[in-house]
Amino acid sequence: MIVFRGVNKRYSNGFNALVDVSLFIPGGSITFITGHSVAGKSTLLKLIALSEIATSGQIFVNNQDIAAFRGRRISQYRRTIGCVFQEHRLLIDRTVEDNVALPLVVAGMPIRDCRRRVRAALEKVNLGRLAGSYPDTLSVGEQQRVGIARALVARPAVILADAPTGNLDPDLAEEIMRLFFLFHELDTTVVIATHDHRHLSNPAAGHLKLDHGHVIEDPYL
Amino acid sequence: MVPVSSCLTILILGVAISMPLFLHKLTESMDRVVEKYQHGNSVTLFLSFPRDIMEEELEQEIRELLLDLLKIPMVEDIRRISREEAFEDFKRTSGLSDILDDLPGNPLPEILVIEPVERASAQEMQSLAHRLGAIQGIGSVSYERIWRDRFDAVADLFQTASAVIGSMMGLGVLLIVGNTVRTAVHSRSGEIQLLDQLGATSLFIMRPFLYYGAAQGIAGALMALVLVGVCLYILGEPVNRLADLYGSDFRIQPLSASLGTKVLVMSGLLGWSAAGFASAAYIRQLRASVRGM
Repeated sequence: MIVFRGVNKRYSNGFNALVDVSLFIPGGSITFITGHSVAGKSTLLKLIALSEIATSGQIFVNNQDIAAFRGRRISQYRRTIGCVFQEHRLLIDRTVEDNVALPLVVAGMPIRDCRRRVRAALEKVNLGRLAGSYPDTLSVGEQQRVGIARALVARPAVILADAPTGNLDPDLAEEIMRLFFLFHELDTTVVIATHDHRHLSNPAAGHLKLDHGHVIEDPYL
Repeated sequence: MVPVSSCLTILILGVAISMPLFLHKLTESMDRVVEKYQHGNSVTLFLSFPRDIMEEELEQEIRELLLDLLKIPMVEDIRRISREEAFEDFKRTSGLSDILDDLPGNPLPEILVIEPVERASAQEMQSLAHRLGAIQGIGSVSYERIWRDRFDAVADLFQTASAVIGSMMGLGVLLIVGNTVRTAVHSRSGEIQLLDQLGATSLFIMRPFLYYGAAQGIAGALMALVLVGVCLYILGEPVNRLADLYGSDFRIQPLSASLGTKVLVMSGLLGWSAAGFASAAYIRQLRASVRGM
């Protein structure tokens, strides 16, 4: 469950990315956030991921006031969040397997358990055969799926995805979205910022609409 | 982390560490020489009596002089070296016994060696030597401590110079490793940002850089030990020859295992600290900039 109460985010250049945003995203739901390019979609995800801190207001994730977190608590919280980035952010000097294992290594999981979990995550995204490959030998779609495997390997409570299908052709985009619906069925809260309107009609998904930092459509209120 | 720049850094570190290390070795060698003269605080009196003085009269004069000298509070003990003893000793050590035997008589004077009390300072000893020189029957006074004091002063100067240069080089090691790690950290900023986002702690992110810094410090120290070892080996032979020519047993001491270990540990710690400062500063800056946007 994600709750925003009167959240404002103002950048140092004076730009107001979010203005008095209050919203509620139920646990285990899949929610699409849409809006034009400066609507505040990425900022909203960054605030949930604690990559940025709100200027004012309160943000609760699974009943925890994450804005109050400091130091080590922020690191601990981030381990419970899976992030999928538009630009993949894979380490090119490490194999697919090592890239996917990163969240588990960070969490201090023993190597043997890591390998098992990584294999399982790669199988979920149909990349088991490419475990030993390096990211720069993969196609864009495969790289994106590696990013998704990395986000889900630690079995996070929340998965955040910022334009995950932005660079993909329609077929690949469809495949990636199917994966997100799969996580949602596993009771994971999935929040996706997207420009792709093809999936908004899916009755299983909620659609939150932003415009110039304001929520103009909230499916859960 | 780029191997060529790492090798260059290790080379620079090796040269930087070798300078104070070399100076320290010289100081250590000098200290051993100074130690040999630690007991050289005595004052030697060369007595001056007329050549034609009778043996009994001479003995009487010396006895009286000894009694007078023993009354001086700073005098702990007096050792007498007779003319005959001095002559025999000179013959033995000079290797000129044949020539000395041909001399018409013994040209050496009677000698008294005064051992002062333990607490006597250098200044007090100098004033005592001056006072003794004015006593009737004492021809000249030789005060050995002045040489020891001068030697001590030179050794102190070397020791201080070694400490100052060592501190400066320590700072140099910090800066060199810090800068190298800073470059490595910047070149891996993408990875650091990703790890930070995945929930890695600062220590987890810093760990490879700390190992890298410590490894650079240790490799630099190893390089310095090799450089100094080679220098000492090259210098050893000519220095020994020169010392022998001057009748000195001065020897440049070789590098000891304990000194080598100390240098390795200290350099490793310096490298570790430098890497810690550099990487922690970058992570702090990164987090501040990301959250403050």
